[in-house]
Amino acid sequence: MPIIACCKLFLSRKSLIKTMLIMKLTAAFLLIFCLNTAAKGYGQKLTLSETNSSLDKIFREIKKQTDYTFVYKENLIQNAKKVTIKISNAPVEQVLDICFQDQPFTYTILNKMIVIKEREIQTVVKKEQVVSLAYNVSGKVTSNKGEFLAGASITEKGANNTVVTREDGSFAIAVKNPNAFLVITFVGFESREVAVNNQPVINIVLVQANTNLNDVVVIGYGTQKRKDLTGSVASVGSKDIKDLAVPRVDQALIGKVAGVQVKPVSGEPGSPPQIRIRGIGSISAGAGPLYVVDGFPTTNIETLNPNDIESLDILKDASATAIYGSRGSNGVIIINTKRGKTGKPTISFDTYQGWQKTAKMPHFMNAQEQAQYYYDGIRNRNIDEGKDVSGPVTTWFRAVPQEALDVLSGKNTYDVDALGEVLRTAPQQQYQLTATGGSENVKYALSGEYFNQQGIVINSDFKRYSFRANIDAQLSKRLTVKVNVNPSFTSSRNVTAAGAGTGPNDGAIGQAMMVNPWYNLRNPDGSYFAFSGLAGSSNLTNPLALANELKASQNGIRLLGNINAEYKILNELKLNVLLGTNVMAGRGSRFKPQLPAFFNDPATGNDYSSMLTNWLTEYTLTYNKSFGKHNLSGLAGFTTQKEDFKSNTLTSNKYPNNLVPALSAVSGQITDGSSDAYQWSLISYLGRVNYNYKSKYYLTASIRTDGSSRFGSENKYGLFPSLALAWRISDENFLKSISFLSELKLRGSYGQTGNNNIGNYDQYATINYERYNLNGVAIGGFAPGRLANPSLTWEKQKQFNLGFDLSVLNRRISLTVDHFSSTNTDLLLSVNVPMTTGFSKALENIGEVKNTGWEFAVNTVNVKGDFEWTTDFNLSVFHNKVTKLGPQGDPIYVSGNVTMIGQPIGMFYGFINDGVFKNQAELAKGPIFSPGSSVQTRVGDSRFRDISGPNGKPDGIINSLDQTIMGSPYPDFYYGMSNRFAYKNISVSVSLQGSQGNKVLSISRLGTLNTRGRVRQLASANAYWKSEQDPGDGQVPRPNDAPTGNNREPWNSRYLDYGTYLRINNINLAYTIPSKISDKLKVHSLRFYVSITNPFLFTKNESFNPDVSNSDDALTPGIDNNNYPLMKSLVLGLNLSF
Amino acid sequence: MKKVLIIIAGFLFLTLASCKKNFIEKIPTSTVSVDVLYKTDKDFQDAVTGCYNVLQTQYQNFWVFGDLPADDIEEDIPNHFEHIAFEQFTVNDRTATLETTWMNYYNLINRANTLLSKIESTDTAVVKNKNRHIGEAKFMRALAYFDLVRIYGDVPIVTGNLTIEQSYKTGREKTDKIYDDIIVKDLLDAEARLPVKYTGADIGRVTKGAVKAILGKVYLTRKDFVKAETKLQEVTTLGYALLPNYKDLFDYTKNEHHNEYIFDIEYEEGIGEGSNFTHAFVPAWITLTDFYGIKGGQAQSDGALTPGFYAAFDSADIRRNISVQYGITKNGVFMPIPTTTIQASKSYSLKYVTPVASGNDSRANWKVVRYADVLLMYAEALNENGKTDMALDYLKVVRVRAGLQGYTGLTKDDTREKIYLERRLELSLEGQRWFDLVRTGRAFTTLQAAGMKSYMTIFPIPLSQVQIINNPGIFAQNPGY
Repeated sequence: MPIIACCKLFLSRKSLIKTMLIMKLTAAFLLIFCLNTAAKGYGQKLTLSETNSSLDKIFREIKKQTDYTFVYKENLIQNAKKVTIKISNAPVEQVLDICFQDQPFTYTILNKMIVIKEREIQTVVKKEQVVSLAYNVSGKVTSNKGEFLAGASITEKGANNTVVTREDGSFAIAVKNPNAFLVITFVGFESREVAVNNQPVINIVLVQANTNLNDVVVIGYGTQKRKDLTGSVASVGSKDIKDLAVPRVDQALIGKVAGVQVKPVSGEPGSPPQIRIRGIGSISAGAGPLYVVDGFPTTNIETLNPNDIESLDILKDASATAIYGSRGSNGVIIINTKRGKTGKPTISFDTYQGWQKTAKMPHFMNAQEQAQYYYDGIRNRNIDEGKDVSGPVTTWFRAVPQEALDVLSGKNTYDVDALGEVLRTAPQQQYQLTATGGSENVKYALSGEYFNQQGIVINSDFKRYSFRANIDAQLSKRLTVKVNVNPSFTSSRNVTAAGAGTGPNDGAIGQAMMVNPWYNLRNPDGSYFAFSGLAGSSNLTNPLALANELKASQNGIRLLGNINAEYKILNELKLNVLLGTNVMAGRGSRFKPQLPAFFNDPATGNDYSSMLTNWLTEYTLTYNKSFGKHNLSGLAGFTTQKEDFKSNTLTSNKYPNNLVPALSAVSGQITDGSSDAYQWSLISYLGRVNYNYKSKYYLTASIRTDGSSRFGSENKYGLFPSLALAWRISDENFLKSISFLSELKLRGSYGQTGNNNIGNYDQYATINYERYNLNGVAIGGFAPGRLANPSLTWEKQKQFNLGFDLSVLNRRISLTVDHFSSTNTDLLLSVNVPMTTGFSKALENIGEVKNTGWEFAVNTVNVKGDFEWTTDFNLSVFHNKVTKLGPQGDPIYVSGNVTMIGQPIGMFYGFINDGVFKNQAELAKGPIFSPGSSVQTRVGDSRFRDISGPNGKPDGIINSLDQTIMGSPYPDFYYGMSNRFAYKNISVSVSLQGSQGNKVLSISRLGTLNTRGRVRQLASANAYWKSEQDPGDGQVPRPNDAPTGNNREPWNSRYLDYGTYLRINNINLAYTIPSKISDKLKVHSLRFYVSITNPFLFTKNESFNPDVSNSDDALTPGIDNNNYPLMKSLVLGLNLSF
Repeated sequence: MKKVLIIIAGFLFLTLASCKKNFIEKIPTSTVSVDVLYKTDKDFQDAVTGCYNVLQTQYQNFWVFGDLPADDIEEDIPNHFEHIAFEQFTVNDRTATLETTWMNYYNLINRANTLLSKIESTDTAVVKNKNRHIGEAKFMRALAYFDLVRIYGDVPIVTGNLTIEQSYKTGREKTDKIYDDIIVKDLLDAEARLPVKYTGADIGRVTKGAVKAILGKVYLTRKDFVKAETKLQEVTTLGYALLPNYKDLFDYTKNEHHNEYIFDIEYEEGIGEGSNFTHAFVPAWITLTDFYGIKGGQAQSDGALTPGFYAAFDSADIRRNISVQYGITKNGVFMPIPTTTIQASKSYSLKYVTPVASGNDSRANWKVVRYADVLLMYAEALNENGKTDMALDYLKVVRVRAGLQGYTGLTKDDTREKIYLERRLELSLEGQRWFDLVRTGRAFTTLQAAGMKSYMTIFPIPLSQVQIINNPGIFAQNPGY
């Protein structure tokens, strides 16, 4: 049985990994320990007295007296001359200079590590000196940040005469005449040309080049130089993440990348932003990207410590994503973590402390206004019902609640801010200790983190404890092993915030938005006030009781780890074996006590646990070779992944009291319980060829085959090819003469990808478990649960991409433009089928969606030199259009959203509000809702647009035929901009982002604008119609206790809020202590920063957050359901390294 | 070391590659495919449970059809739009209740069809209760079609498992054909297969008496009074009797399977099987809910009793105080329901009042048919068949229990009116009134003032179904909608 064989193998492999991990970890810890204990007494002066001693001995002596170590090749100092030295209290450099005076080698100091190298520089210089030239120039080359640049080339222009700078940046060159020109070049810096002009000493400052051409970009199953990219790949580096103090890695992407829409949909601690790459390519199978963490594909990145991240690379076009096959069509985000570097250990301590509060608050009527509104609403109801309201209020048929009258008469002066009682200023903090370093053979990066974010809703929080060990070991000349281990523990307390604005539910924010301000949330005896059976309020759940007493918590423990062995079979051919695992275990519990404020419902509690294991094996062969001007690289691979998940929940409502929330209190009377289990597996073959000719003409072709357990028996394997071409046209001779042009590359690609989030077993007709009770006893049963679909398959995407990269003026201005066009077919849809089948829906691959879009990214260096100012700007536009739905093409209606052919997915659907009928004359013109009925439109009610009637023409009557598309959840464009300013040790960055033209459908307003005084109304409703003489702003209808005129019938454009906004999402100010001071403090570097998140927001939105989106469901985007408010925060941070 | 690693890597590669065929075959482990089931007696019993389960869902809302459009109750909660639409005759083809109802009944029909098709070939040696399973399934299928034709008129006939392709071609059939081909046939078959009584854990299942009673109602609905008389007469021989106290019918703390019980949809509190009737028919007045021990304060009376209904009672009728209450009497003091704006209803019925620990989790059953109903139907059939005196005798049995005298010396036409009135008083809020009005042709005249139009004796077909099938030739909307 092959399966058994597999299992055994998994087992043995597992123990192998374990053993190796233990070995490596032990080694790493020992190393750190030794290095740390050695690290005492910085910057001590030396006292030496040696006569004719070997260098070896002197080194040992230096090591004894200081914390310096020596790094050199073993046989290098064999030929060293003996040294005699007598010196006291001298700095290390002075001692070394003496020791190395006549040696055939020299040294550099890097991070307290003395690196010894052969003295090449001297020989070059000597050779040139033989030519015996006329004029000697010397000097030093430094960077604009003051670092000495070793190895920079100084070339006399027009002569075959070059020297290289020494380790201290100094050089000496003899030139033909005093008027010669020197060209100074250094990798990563802009070249400079300097006239000698009779100066014997010239100090040169090189400015860091604004080029990322040689940056390495991580692509699927490999890396590439940015210069050589053919696809559309954007990168965000650790620098961009560092000071944002974001709790999650993905939040660092907000506003940073063209084509990547990142919406901070909720402020709940630990909750993810919503990420959409290049529009929405799926209707019901999820539109979020795939994450690949250090080579491991996963969907959960909650446990990653943002400070561990080295780079985020976002694969956007199909040529980049096709290598991920059936998981690539929503885009791929590759996350690589920081790795160790050769050198002495650097130990750093990073921390920040922050305070968060609600970024933006909605404004409500005050108690007086609300009471008056209630009063007017009752009055209008009486009038509508033909009752007399001319007498005193006590004689009215429908009574105004005493509570409202008390407020109006001044007897009750409460004006309770319920939101204020459940929201707070909440602290957040992070502490992290990191150690990196290593020898040539073993490098390590270790980090431990504690993160604690309190939520701005009371009793909510998120804590993370994570540890990471990344070890790289060169085991032999040909074999390298990398090990990444990332255990983490997360713990959170959760408060349900969201809840519809229509009645009692568990949403603390939702209820706090609705409770009338004339009730205190607590009774005089301290118990919670019960909003139940009151005349002056709808039945509501006390929000403070919800936030305080409904206890919900979750814990998770995770191990993300992999081991990657690279074996160099030939110099050009490498075999990579990657074994990885993701193990997660989660526990959660919830308890809702029995309280009058919760309508005395019996206490209920549940307990949840889950276990997920995911295994990955990956074998890849890579080949790299240049044949003259032909550069070729290839990749072939085989990979498998499988996941196993089990969970169970137990529930009981038989608690004897509220004292013990644990299920142990129910004496075994579990009233509900279930368990779930699933598995999926994926087996894939992949290949890619990159070819270029003279780094000018590029071709990339890739292919992947995925076989998946999720696919129906008739469609077991899918094929995902891609092709991309690029032309670095700026390297052509005909453009070389254009001096301002630094780089111009044209790119084009086409590829096919898929989305396999189609459910694990949805191809099968499974049963549902059902229940009935006979004679008072529950009995179990079953029934067919759904229709089978053996042809169920992945969703397919075809995408074209055309783009160019342009850099001009010495790369001071760079522009990247991409245009894409994708068609997603075979979209999984739960299509409506005739219910005579016994089912209302069946799962079919039937939908089709097109996305087209433009992406612009501009990076400029505005000012260079001591003061530096750079700007990154990006702007994206996309258009989404549904081209095919179910068999009859019938639209999909989900509450206030509709998905119909010819329109984007999930448009807002309802009646269009057209102001109010200000007077009888206006009303007479109509259109009227439900004429003749008790709820027919009256003066002061909303006027709705008469879209259609039974004959397809407006008929003067408002009914369901007048519903139409009333707004879009998608922006016309969205954008982001970062400005960075640096002057010496100070840096400032300001990021902003925004969205233009979209709307939000506010379920919240079903409460806060519902025209009834029973729940709290938004302040904007104060402009309501009062009488024909005082019609308000002509937009807000009259209050009415029994609403008429379609004012509340599910959806109309009054419930649309603004989604357009401009937000300054981060301001950061950082100061690095000058090295003079930090040296005195005996630290390597010390840096302070202040980071302010979301300080300013410009929008007409009336709620907490214009980016809100209640669910991840593509069918219902942009819904405001009183979700957890977004916060603004102030963070003070410190980075200290030794 | 490196050689070892290469060997291991190569070995893993090869073995994994050989595993691949099974590697990507995964079958569900927390549920099973339909095909593995429907084998044993227990399987079929469980499948029958799956059918009852749908009735349990559907009958939570049965009063929306059976009572709300009629003249006994009114919906006073302004934001219960759907209910208002039923009460004020403004339902349309998008009314959600009409779609879920359609879905529920065809779901039940599909469950019954699956069971019936799978059970056909089984051996009674294995499936010991085969007869009972078939009988229960056919009864429920018949009941589903009976409700369907009474709510929607013509509907599609489905007696097997439809594929999606077939379902597009399956149009609406005439009501008469549905009665002849399915409802009566299924009921006759079920009648032959089911026992008169159950014991122990099976109490609550459909009995022979239930089938006969519903069959009687079907005949009555079709005005086949001869067959109705025969069938209903048979019910009177099965040992049923009226409870001495009308009140006890609605005392849910006692055994609900008493002599008058014929067939209920069963609900039970505390085990996730509760009904919503208590909360649906009790006002949100906290003094009142506390008084009755009704917890889970989201009670919102949907059904306030109309003044006309109250007025229809004789003051001596002991049913009046159970059917209509205007407040509570606490410590001897009567407190009317206060005129607050939250609770619009000024009256409520005691029929579903029982202590409840949490919202919509009541133990109150829904009575599909009880013996008083049978007696009144029998009386009606007798009267229509010219046996007025006999009819008055049976009518008297029901009236005497209500503390009233029987009638004597009435004409056939007067007797008919008295029987109709008695049904209204006896069976209020039990899902009968609307269907009685329609069945006897009095709906339009009675409810015209409430906004009913003459075509509204049936409700519209859900728009979604009309759109999906999109073939007016076989699947047209009901006239008027």
